[in-house]
Formats: sequence, C-alpha cells, structure tokens
Amino acid sequence: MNYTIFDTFIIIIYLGLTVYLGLRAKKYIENSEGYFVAGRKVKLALGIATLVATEIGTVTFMYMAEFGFTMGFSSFFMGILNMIGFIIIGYTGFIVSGLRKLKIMTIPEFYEIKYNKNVRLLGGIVLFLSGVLNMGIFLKFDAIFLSETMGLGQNVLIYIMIIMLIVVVSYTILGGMLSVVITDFMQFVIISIGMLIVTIIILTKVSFLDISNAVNMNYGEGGINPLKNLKMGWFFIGWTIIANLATGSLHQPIAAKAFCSESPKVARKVFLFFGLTLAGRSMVPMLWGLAALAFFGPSVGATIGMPRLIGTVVPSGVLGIVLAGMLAASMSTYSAYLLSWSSVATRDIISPIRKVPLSEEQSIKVAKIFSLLIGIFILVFGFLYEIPATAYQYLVLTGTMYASGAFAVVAGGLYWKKANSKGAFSALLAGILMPMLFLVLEKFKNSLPEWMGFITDINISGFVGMILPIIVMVIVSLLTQKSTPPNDITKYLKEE
Amino acid sequence: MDLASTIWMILFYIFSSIFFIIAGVVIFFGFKDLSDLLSKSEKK
Repeated sequence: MNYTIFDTFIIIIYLGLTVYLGLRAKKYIENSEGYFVAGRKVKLALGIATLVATEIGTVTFMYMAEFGFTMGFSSFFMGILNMIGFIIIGYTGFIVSGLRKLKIMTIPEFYEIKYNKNVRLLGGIVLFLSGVLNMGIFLKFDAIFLSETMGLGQNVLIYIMIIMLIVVVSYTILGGMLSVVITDFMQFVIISIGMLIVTIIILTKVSFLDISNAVNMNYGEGGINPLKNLKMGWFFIGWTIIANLATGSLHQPIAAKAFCSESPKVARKVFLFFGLTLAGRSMVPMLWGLAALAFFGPSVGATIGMPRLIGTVVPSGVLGIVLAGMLAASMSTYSAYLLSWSSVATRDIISPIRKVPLSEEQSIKVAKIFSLLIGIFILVFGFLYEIPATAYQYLVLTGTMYASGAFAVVAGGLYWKKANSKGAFSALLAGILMPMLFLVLEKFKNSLPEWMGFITDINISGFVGMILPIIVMVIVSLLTQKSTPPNDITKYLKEE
Repeated sequence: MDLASTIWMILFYIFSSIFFIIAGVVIFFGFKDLSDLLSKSEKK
C-alpha cells in the first residue's frame, strides 16, 4: 500500500477547507426558498457541476467498478443507456420543465397541486423511506473503499466515518442548499481532477490488451456483447431505460437541482449536459474495475478489486488528492441527499399532517432536526446492516420502490388530463409491490413453483415493477372519472 | 486485440473525453456562476 502520513495531511486540509466554505453559506440564508433551493438562482455551469457532484459518491465508484469487474466490457453499455435517458430528459424537458414551472421544492408538492393532500402524504412517506434506506449503505461502501486504499483496519474507519458525517451534517444543517451548491462545486473540481489522474495512472500500469484478454478469458462473449450476457439482456435494457427516465426526472436529489435552476430552460440544459457526461463518468470507474480484474485476477473479489488497485498503483501524495476527491464525492452526495430527504420529511410528511402549516422559520428548523436524525440513522444502519445481495441490486430495488410509482403519477399528472387522485394513490401503492415481492420471494426462490420464477429475476421484476404502476394508474383513473374528476393544472404551467 | 474490444476501447476514449472536456468547461465558467450566485444571495 502506498498510503502515507502525507496523504492524511492533504485530506485534513481538504476537510478543513470544506467546513469553512460550507459554513460561510450560513450568512446568505434568509428564507425557506434560500435554504431548500438556493433562491432558484443557479446558472448553467454551476448547475451541471452540482448535479454531477451529487450523483457521484464513493458508492457510485464502488458499484460501477464492481459492475465493470463482473460484466466486462458489456458494463459500458449501461453507461450509454444512462446517457440516453438523461439526454431525452434534457432535450425534451420531459417532466423536469413542468415541475420547475410549478415552482415547487419537492416532488410530492406536485401531488397536492394535481391530486390531493393524501396522495402527497403517501408519496412523501414512500419517497422518504425508500430514499433514506437507499442512502443507508453508502457509508458501508465508503468504509470498504477507505480500508482498501489506506490499508487501515475497520476499527479506525468508524471514527473516520463519524468525522466525515459530522462535517457534512454540520454544513448542510447550517447552510442548506447554498452550502450544498458551494461545496458541490469545490468537490466537482477535486473529483474531476482525481478521476483524470487515476485513469491515466491505471492505463499506464494496465493496458487495454491486458483488459481485453482478462475479459475474454473470464467472461467469453458475455463480457463483450451485452445481449449475450446472462445478467443483462432485453428486459435489463428496457428496465434501465424506463428507470433512468423515472429516476432522472424524479429522484428528489436530482430533481432538486432543476428546482434550483434560474429558469425551466436552464434546468433542461443542466440535464442535457449532465446526460452527455454520463456515459464517460460511468465508463471511467467501470474501467478501473476491469483493470482490477486484469491486474489481480478474479479471485480478489469484485468489490475490493478497484480500491485495492488504486491503493497499489497510485503513488503517495497523488493518493491523498485522489482520496480527498473520493471523500469530496461522498460528501457532496451525502449533503444533497440529507437536504433532500429532510426537505421531504418536513414539507410533505410533517406539514400536511399539521392543522396549521409550518412557518418558514419552523420548516427550516424541522428540516435541520431531520438532517441530524438521518445522519445518525445512516451511521448506525451502515455499520450494522448486512447487505443481502449486491450493492447494485440493493440500490436499484430501493430506488424502484419510489421511482416506479412516482413516474406514473407525475408523468400521468403532467401529460394526461384524465389522471386523478384515486389512480395516483393506487399507482404509488403498486410501485412498492414488485420490489417488496422481490425482496421477500428472493429469500424463498428455491421453494417457489417454476412459473413464479420470473419474480425472482431482478431484471424481469424491475421491468414489471416500472410498467405495473402505469397500468394501474390508467385503469383506476378511467374507472373513477365520475366519482373523482381530475384537477386541471394547465393554469399553473405558465412559462417564466 | 479483437475487434469488439477495440470498439469498446474507442467508445471509452470518446465518452471519457466528452466527460473531461465538459468538466473543464464547467470548472472554467462555474467560478463566475458561483460568485454571481453569492453576490445575488447576499442579505440586504
């Protein structure tokens, strides 16, 4: 391992600078719009930086590298699919433009405008629970990454994680979205430089020919052709495209960046350029995973291969910058996610169940308390919970739990005049069904009858999980048009 | 190296270059956007 005290010094300087800048944002916060959506004043370049930083964490590098290690070159195909989803959103303004025009701060606020308070409350609860669970494994993967690159034991890591979490929670609580945007930008700079340095160093140690030989030897044609890969195939492709459209436009930490933009037009452009970066930003860590396969062989393990490679080939000094970049990536993700889920808890769960709505000051205070509670939860959950399947499966399942129902409800509400509250309520419940079924039945897959085997196939289950809420939304809305007439929201969708 | 691996290699270089070029441009213009945002957000 190349890690030395000099690398620790670089990391400490970086953490100190982040706290200082994040805390400075406090002096700019005047009201809840400033706290939750940075006053809706974020321009294009800053919007792209903050969205990229939010969507890259150490956990992203870990699961992308794991994907590259286990799927070979076929993994690159997923990067291209991710890119297509966001380019469609950015080019057409699908969902994000409509939501930005409504000047909302959280997705469930739309549910009340289009449907009613009950749909907002259910949507808020589903979004909050799935979001916080989704975030629950991030710390665990950061721990694995740091232990492999620094060569430290697990006992030290819990202290590093606690320090990191205290830093993020403190600047998120005090500075809200403005501190998230400021630190995201700084983190974007460090992440980009770190990614470039690691890629160059890895490619000087492991050639594409070595990688090609390793892929051919370990995975054969499935490692090169995604359609021949047993873990991918057509259902995977269909599911990934729809899931990307859904999570791309409706995942609260991503959508929040559209809400911060200075106009719907800027929001669209942010998504378009972010989409253009997606294939490359996915392929880079996938290549690191592939290089680990070629360098160590398959026995090292898919999860620890990439961090071990970085700890082995990146020299001291540079390793400090790279680790600071990784910490930067994690912190920007944590801060954006903490703010998103605490906003949802405050505005869509606590506020609707109160008789008197929260004042601006109260809603900021409640959001800060939730940020703290979520921080404590992910620390405890991350270290106690054992992930049942792969990280990718876990993240996808918890993501699908929310995104599938929300996709039908929001897309239906914006683009289909007959969408009503009963259809929306049923679609949200249907969205939870398939991931829950998968989670439960997967444990008993050996004792299930053969015809039910499709439910325990993650690709089929994921695909059906995305389609089912759409079907439920359409059928229930059509059947209840007379008893529950749909609300017309065209008057709210004015151009700015 | 076989043809399929070569194609993936070319795609990797194309898309990773796009990522790093956009990142460079975003870093260049992002500083100005950030100072604009902070000056607009200053408490009156």
